[in-house]
Amino acid sequence: MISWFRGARRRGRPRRVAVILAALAPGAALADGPADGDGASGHAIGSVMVVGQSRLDVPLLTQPVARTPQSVDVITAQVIQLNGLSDLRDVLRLDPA
Amino acid sequence: MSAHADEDSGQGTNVQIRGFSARFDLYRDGQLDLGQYYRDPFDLDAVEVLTGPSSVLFGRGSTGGVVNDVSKTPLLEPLQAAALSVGTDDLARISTDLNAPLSPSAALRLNAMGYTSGLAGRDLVDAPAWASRRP
Repeated sequence: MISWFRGARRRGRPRRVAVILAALAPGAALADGPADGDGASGHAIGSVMVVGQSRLDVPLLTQPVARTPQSVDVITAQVIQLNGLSDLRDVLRLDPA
Repeated sequence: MSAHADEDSGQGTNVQIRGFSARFDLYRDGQLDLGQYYRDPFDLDAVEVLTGPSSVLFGRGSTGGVVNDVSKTPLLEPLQAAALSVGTDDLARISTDLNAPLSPSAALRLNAMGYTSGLAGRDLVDAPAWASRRP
């Protein structure tokens, strides 16, 4: 720990840590202390249930990715026979994608 | 989707989907088919092409998509079909599709193919092939 502190002092970290602690201190005091002036000090609030709908920022992702509909092109045996194809490469050329 | 010759890759069915090679995204009835050979569709009931990032959507595969070959399966109705093709450079191809019901719940189907051809402009090239499949 001592060696770490010395190293940090050389890089100027204690000043940064002190600034952060100073900024957090008032917030901690407000959270612990009673709220004066509102007349409801000293008792805890019971459980609160919040009901609502989550709003998606990306409207395309409305369901899990695994359930996303995808385009599947099917080339049937009848089409293959009617075109007289004898190679899978020729069959795949019929795919419009 | 594009298919190209074998100048820049190994022999066999080499296709590209959306610009990405689908060489290792060929499936046969859902099973990965890695063989480097030219696939003849004589025993195929359908060819399914799924485009998109298949590793996410299909569960496996690469970026462009996957090709799934669906084999013919036995039918409970009798079927006899044959096809004959002839062409230049000694091209000849015959394929048969025979299906025979054995019982109300069982059937036998036989697909066979024979192929031979030369190559345009080359006298010493012969490319025979034959295959059969009994589902």
